[in-house]
Amino acid sequence: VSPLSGAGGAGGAGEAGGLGEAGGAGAHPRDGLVELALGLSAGPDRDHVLAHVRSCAACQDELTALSGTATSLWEAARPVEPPAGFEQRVLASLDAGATHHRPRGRLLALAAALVALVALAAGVTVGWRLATGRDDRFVSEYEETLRQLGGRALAGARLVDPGGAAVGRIFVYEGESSWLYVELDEPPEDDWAIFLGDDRIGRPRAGGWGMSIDGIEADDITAVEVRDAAGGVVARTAET
Amino acid sequence: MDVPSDEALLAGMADGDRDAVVAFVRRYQARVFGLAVAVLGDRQAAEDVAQEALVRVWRHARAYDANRGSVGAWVATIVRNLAIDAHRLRRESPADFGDLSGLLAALADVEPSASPADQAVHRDQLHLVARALVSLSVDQRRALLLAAFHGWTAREISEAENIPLGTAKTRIRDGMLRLRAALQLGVVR
Repeated sequence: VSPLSGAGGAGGAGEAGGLGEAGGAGAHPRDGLVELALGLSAGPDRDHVLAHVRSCAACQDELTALSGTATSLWEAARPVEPPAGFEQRVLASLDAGATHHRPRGRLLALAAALVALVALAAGVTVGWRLATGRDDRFVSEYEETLRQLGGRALAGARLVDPGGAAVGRIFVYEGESSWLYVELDEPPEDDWAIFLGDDRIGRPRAGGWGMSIDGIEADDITAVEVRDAAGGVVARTAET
Repeated sequence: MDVPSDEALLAGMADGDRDAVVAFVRRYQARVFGLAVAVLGDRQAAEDVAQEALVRVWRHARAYDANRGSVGAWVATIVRNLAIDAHRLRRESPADFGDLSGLLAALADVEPSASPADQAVHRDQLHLVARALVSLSVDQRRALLLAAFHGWTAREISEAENIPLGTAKTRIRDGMLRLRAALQLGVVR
């Protein structure tokens, strides 16, 4: 049975719905699935729906179907030949990126591992969006902060345990100097380590830990894991 | 010689094969630019978004997972997200997008200058989606297009259209369900 069944198929007569319809712990987040498929949700609302989807096969199927419907719409936009010179500009940009932005030395391997771990549920930007950007004041303050710092990007994501519960945060800043910071609410008592892909990049001594990531674009940092001394995953970036 | 698949071109891009990069850009640039134009309604802004989208595809080519959808769907999602982000950074209000005539036109015809391959692919998709959209009520279609192409939330639609939030959510949800049903019917016919 579709989680959305009974949602009104005849002319939009029903007024039931809204995020509140998921009220009970086990209720299907009907509108939340639609918003997720359309790329509209963010923050706690998005986390809530994703947490439900992880444990609900019916909603997983529903989300897959809805996402397919959304992409059918997007793919239906008519192709339009871009202006003259567009192809050359794109290729020049890619050529420049291949040499200018390629991380150096050890970080190169890290970046390659990271890129392989990008979660694709709703495109590459979703999981690392700073915020919805709909609040003008927020956007203005964000842009002003970056301008003053000479920064290019500031992104963050939740860290979740294997059960999906939020257990920490990760921040990435890209600017004249770039850094990554990981923070756990309750770090393991034993050793724990931060992994980017299969590369261990640090062993924190407290609940927070950071490193310089000069040479890696923030956009390329897509998945981080925290593992305990036995190699078990304690936390990872929330699946997008 | 066989024409390489989208997946093969992406794999080539990930491995640094410049021929694959060129082939992919040539294959996709009109679709990427077309979707950006449909969302933004501004060719200059659309060009910036299209270029950035292709850069991101290249940068993340290794991360593409065929189990999560087609290459076209993946690329379309990237373009759409970037285009909506571009709107927000320019601080355009939802009211700026009240007129959907440009978007509907983008969904209603195939540009004559598009390549024959693009025209053929798009015609099939277009006819299916256009027929499906016709099956929606006017209100459902408007709410769905605003949400899908312009990133309007139900709350923004409710405020702009002066309707209760629940009504906006219902229109989006019902629009999606009816569109999905119509597309499924179109596939099996």
